[in-house]
Amino acid sequence: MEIEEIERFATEFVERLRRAGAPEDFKPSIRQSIALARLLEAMKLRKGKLDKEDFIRAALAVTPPEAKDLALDVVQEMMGGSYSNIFHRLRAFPFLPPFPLQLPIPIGGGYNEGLSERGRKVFSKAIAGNPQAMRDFKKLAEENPVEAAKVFNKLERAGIANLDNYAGIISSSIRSLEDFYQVFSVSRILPSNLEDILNHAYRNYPLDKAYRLADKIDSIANSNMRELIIKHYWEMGKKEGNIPSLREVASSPAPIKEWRQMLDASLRMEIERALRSEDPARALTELAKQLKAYSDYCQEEWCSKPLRAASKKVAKMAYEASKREGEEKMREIERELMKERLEPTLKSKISHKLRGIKGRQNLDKLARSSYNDVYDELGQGKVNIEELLKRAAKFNNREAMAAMAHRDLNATLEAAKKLGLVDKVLDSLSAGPGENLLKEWYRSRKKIDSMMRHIVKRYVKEVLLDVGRGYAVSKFGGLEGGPLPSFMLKPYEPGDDPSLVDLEESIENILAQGKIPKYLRYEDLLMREEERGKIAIVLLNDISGSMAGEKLFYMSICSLMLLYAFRREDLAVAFFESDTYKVKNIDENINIEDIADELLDLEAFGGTCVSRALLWAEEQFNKTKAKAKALVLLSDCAFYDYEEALALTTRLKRMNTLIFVVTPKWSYEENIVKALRSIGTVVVHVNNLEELPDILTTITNSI
Amino acid sequence: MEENLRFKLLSAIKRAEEVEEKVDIVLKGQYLEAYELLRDSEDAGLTPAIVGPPGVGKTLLCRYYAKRTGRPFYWVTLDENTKPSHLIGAFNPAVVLDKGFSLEAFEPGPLTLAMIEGGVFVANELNRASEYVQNVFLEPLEERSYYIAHVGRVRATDEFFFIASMNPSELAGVHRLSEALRDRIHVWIALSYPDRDTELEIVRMHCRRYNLPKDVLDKVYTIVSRTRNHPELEKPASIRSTIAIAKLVAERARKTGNYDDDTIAEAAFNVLVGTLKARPGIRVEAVAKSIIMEALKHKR
Repeated sequence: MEIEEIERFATEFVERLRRAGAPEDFKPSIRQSIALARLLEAMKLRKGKLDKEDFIRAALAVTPPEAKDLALDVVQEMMGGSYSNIFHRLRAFPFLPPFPLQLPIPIGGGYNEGLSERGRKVFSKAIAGNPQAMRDFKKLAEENPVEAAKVFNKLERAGIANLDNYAGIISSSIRSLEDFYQVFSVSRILPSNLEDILNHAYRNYPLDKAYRLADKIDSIANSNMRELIIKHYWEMGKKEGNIPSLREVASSPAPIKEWRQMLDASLRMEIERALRSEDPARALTELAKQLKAYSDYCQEEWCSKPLRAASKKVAKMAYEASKREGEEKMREIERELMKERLEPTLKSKISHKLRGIKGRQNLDKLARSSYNDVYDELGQGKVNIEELLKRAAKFNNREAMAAMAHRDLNATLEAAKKLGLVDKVLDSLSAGPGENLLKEWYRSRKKIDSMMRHIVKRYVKEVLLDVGRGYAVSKFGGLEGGPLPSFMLKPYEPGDDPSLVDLEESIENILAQGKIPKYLRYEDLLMREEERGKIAIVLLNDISGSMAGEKLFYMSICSLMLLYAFRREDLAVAFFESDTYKVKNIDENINIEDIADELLDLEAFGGTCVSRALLWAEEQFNKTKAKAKALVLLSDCAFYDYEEALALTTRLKRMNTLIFVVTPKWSYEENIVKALRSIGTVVVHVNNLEELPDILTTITNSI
Repeated sequence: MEENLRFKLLSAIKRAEEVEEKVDIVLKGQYLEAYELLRDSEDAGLTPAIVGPPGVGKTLLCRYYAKRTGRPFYWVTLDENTKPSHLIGAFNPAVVLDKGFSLEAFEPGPLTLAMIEGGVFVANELNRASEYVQNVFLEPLEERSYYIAHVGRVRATDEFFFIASMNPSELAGVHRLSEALRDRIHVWIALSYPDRDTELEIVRMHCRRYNLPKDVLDKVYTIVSRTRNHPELEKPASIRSTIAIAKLVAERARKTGNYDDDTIAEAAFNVLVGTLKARPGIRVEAVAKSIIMEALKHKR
């Protein structure tokens, strides 16, 4: 074989490899052509001649392992014929993962962690393609659909294809609302027999319990289970003469006619019961108060309005009944109802109207008041926002306008639009404590129309950045230095890099000890610790359904504070619910403002699966050279995969990672927090904003 | 140092040299192919890397290569804590303070020794080294030289030969090869577990004094081979495990005169629980037990 032929083969092979679409990490280059030609020449010199197999062997040898499969295809095409048997060993490792190992997000690790013994067996059979796997899986799903869903989830993460049959089995095995919620949290599989589930709920739970479960499902599945439950209970109740109690109906509201009908029916029953009691006036008064309380509890107009109307109707009946029992009783009931603002007579209505006029006169006074006064007053009861805003704008009182927006952003903006005062209101947003604006943003941002929302978000972002920076500064007094010293001196040890010996410090040290060279020891020399990688922090933010509302507000401020405090360190940020959303890799540069943007748009949604986020955190730690590693988990710890989470947390602890769990004090999963604490995790409960800087103290003191 | 201790240390060094002299290898199948590729790579002036799971004989093959070509053999197993001075060498600070940065104060490391003595240098687990250390190899591979501060540029002799060795499963969570270093490795030699006959021949070579019956060796091999495609295992048994089980069975049988399945099962269990690594959440004892039982049942 001529040299030219070898060179032609080498260049053509690399050319074809390039065209065949080599893996991302591998770029066939001219260096590979040269290496191939030189290898073939060396083989020829040794053997005296080259055969087809030598060409294939050499082509595969100069190709890195991750592209050997492709190289085999290319070279077979060039040489003609199939050599896959001969070269099977050269192109692949029989049991090892592809080379180099890719770690996508979500990460597929974990395998059978978090499964019961039985779940593990089924998982193993399914993954090994055992024909009995489907039968065992079906049996497991019949007995424990949640465990089956966990197995399904693991199979999915292990990359097993064609899982539709498994999903179908789970889907048809869901019988109760609890199973529905848990199965969906784990695997996002919906039940196929909704009717059975509704019947099961009707036979086994009171309406309010079923409603609460349906509410949990709706929060993660974006479904309308609450409405379906109401409709089913109403239909069945009518058929079987079993209408739920008023308490159950009032605490399970839905904007559908069936709920109103059920409310009327249960109200009729309650009124009849009250009239049959020994003291009808008293019983009806209590019922009216109860209905008023339900109405106040309801934030939506479609829910509070009928309950308010019912409470007034019952109040009137109570007053009428009290009349029959004499003057004294009548006065007593009227006083009680007036106290609850349930004026049963014309006279009492007039007195209410008069209070209203007085209220309007007070509006002028209120419009001139300070931020705190307006904010408190708006929190007390109903004030005509439009009127107050008109007056506040007239007096140019920014504080009053800010207090209004911070108390009810949507209503204030709507009123401002009507009155042409939008600019004035936006301009006033920065007055008063920014935390109130943030809290209100998370409460009402969905109600604000998209155009306006975009503009308001700019102001809110400024506030969020300011607040976060403020808390970080309150701890460190400034942001330039960072929380840890950047390098330190240590005695030299054999094997240390001598180029890092600090000669000046060493000589000073030796002179201070009065030593002469003969008596010097290694440790008398001082060296600098590597400067890079002071501390690596991974921040995981829980954005699952259970974090909605105030928790999300706290989490945003806390995240921003940590981002500012540790921005000079190796920092990674991710959000998680059932999936993990990476915001910033540890080796990536990203603007804090961009993260603030993400935080303000977050929707709390879905179940809580923390294990993938923990695996991602582990991957981030592996990328860094930092000596101190800290994981900060902002969550209420309502994890469905808590067994896996505990195993992974333990693994991270073994990597000398400090783990901090920050939970809202008023709502968190006690048992899981207890378990996390038992493996050495530092748990910090946050009750109010003032306590946020304590988190920084805890972290920096522990490092 | 106490005289007695100094003597013991010298004896230990002598023994180590003797072991290094004696390299037993079954040069057939994949090992022969890999050996030839090493030779062709060196002849062509190319840098090879041997990639394969632990215990398939990567280092042994390199040692054999050095011995056959009559050169000194140096090897360093790299990890996150390895520093450039572990490879290049370092100045003895006490001597530096006494005599300055003289050649006398420099204690060369294995890479420098291999370069100046014309030896074979194996960078074991190259992909576990930090990029800081990986960069040390760039100049020796490209220019066959290295600049040592206060000493000057050291140029390698023509006989210097660099071999990288890597374990693909170790890639999870460790450093990947830097682009620059990857570009300087030209030949990728894959070593996997050998075929049945080769592996049994290796085992027989290590168990020469026992004369184990063929059916016992078959059973041992069946057990070990089943660990190599088991879905619940992260790390299967290596050839070292096969040898260890065979030796343990032979020792036990020498005392009892019995090569029954219980003896094999017990020996295999004791070796496998220590060498297998199960996937997270799986108990290695349970997997080892089920593999042994299945394998022996099947063989019966």
